[in-house]
Amino acid sequence: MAVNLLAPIMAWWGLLAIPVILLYLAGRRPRRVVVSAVMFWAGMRGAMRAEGGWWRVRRWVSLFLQLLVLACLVGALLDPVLPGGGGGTVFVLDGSASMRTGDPSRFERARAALAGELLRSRGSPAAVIFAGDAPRILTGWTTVADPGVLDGLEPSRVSRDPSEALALAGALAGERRARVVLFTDRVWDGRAPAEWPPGIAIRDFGGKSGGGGISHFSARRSPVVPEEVWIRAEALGGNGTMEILRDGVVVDARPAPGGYDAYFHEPGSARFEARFTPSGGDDLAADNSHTIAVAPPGRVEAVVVGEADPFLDAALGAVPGVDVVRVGAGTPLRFGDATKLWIFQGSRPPPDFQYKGLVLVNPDGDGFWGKRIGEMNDPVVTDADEADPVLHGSGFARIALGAASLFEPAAGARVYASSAGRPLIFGDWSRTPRWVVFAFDPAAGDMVNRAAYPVVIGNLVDAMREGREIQDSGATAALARNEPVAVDAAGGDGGPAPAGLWWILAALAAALLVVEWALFQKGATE
Amino acid sequence: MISSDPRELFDPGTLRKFEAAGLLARRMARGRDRASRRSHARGASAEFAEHRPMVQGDDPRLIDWNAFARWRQLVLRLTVAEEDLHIHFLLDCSRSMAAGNPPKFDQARRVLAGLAYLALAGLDRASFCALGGGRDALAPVRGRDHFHEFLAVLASCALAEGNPGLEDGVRTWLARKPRRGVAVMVGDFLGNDPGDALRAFSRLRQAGFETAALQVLDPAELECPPRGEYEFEDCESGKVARVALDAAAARAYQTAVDTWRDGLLRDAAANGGPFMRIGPADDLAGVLAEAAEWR
Repeated sequence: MAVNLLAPIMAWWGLLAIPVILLYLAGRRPRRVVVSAVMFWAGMRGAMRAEGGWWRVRRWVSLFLQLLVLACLVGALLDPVLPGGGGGTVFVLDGSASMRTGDPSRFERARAALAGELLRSRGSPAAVIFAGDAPRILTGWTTVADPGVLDGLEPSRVSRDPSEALALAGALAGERRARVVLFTDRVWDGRAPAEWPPGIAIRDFGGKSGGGGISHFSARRSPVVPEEVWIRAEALGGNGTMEILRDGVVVDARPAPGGYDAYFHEPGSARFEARFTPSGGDDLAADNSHTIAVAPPGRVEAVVVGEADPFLDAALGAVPGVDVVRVGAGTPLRFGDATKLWIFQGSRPPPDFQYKGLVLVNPDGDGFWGKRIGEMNDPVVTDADEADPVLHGSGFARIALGAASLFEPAAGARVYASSAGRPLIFGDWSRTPRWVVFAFDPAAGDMVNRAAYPVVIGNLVDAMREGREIQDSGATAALARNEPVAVDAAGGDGGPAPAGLWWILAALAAALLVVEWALFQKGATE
Repeated sequence: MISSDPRELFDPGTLRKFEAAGLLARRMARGRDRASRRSHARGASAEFAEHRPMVQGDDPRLIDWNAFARWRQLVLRLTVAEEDLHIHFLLDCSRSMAAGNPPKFDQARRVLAGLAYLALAGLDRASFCALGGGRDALAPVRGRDHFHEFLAVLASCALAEGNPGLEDGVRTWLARKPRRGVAVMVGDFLGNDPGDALRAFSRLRQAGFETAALQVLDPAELECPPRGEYEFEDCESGKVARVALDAAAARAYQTAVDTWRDGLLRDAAANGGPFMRIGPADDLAGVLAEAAEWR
């Protein structure tokens, strides 16, 4: 039968056996005493003479008893428990934003109730987890849980679901076949209940609440027109008004519940806010306002290395927010610049070149991008991934190329376009530092005369630009919906608390001490 | 540390005690006859001993005519002859005599010297033998003029080598065929076994000697040590007894010691011999005063 130890660190007390053994060995040698005559001792019967089989064993009996007493005391300190119908309780306190609802808030009520449970559970193993911004174990397995560990806790300001905390609780509970009790209002972004550990008991502090709030608010700059900012907002729940503010000024208002999509021309930075004003009562004010700060559109510094190319110059000039510098092909370049976009036409950068973005147009040799292994005559574009941002909207599949170099791309490079399996455009433009190789001269075909050329150049430059990610305020739908999520509560209250063994071991140690004392009095032990 | 210097062993104070004891002994002896021991040899003196029927060859001058008138039978009147008393002083020289503070051996020699002084002052013949001590001995001498010889041989006495038992020592001494008399044994009487001393006294009595015993014991040497496990090593034989000393063992030890001590007393009482037990630091004058009463 498996025995669980609630205080395994107490095993260090077992090291006391070392001094016990050493002291015993040091003291067990008989004292040599010279006497006038041994005739009185020699006449004693054998039972009193320290000879014979029993007396050899007797010396070790005392040590064995002492070590046994120590083992029992250490065993009691380890606080062992036998697994029963349940092996204790893991308490989980929901710290999601919805727990702020009400006065007193759901969180305060749940905390008070949990404190009472901890006091009542003393003597039985208990552990406490707080499901806040990140699951946190407030106290590990103990039979003297302190409600003070709940002091100072605050629920999150964003909606969280307790799945991570419940997974942690499940792992703890699984060690001892314990039960899990969740103190919650059952309002959070839902995962399916099936993903949670089974057998969770719920202490429900939720209930119907009035009002609504902002359930979604996001912003991003247009990838095509960087000066434009897209705003999207949604308000759900109770009736009211949703206002959009720009730098503190209301720029639009819509009735709630409802959604909102709009573009704003904003060449610089701006602060956008979505604000919900309920027409009636509102139990949770935390979800009534969300703010996003939008940074100015980023400019891209591009350096073109090579002979003058009017097509490239025109394409770059058509892309807003690009500062172009041209460098002659023979200009010695050593270290590069990790903040710039470098475009090499027909040449190659030196080794260890620093870049933020690197475009190699028909490079004349090998490098980290791969090996140039030959030529292709009149390649036909058979594959082009126009879903990828590099070729998005370019129509590259319809381009005639004329001639191309045959490359063996480096391992891990992505092939954006190919001709019968032979790479035409390849690289890694999805993450910084970005790089791409065009295995052909665009001017050798008709690409420069087609819209594909400026579109591809624009795509490459846009990917370099800062501030193009979607910014989300973190508002979620469940806050305003207040819809409780079903939880499998089949676990019930679990079984009876497991039997603690510490008192048995302590009693055994006391009994052994009495036995040894009695034997010592009779002279059977030392 | 055992002394071998006679001036240290028998300092002037000790010698004065001997003289005082001698005076005391003489005063005590005024009410009794000198040369106190009677011989059963029949001789010409006025003291009646017994009647014996006359047989052919007897001296007719010894016929008791008064008895004839009463009994109408010829009988001889016999009387007691007086002679010198031989006192043999036997000193236990076993290594256990080195115990005590001061050593028992020194006390034993002083007491023995005092007893010898009493004997010599009483005109008895005194001899000395170191039991187990090899050649340490003094042939019977008479008169206080020979007292210094006693002192010299006592001072030069050394403890025996090896493990001589009392019985063996007595047997060796008896083999020299000493003159019958009184054998005064001084020692601790701790032998190889509890019966060693009793057998020694028995041999002396069987050889026709009257015995007197003066036991010198340090009370601490027979005390039971504290509880624990011990290896007791005999200082004479080197034998080792491993003992786990608990309450029962302590009781058994005390019983053995008491039995041994009582046995010596009972043996002395049963055989009419005086027995005295003293410690290494007991006052010599008192010991000698008590010993003087033995006469």
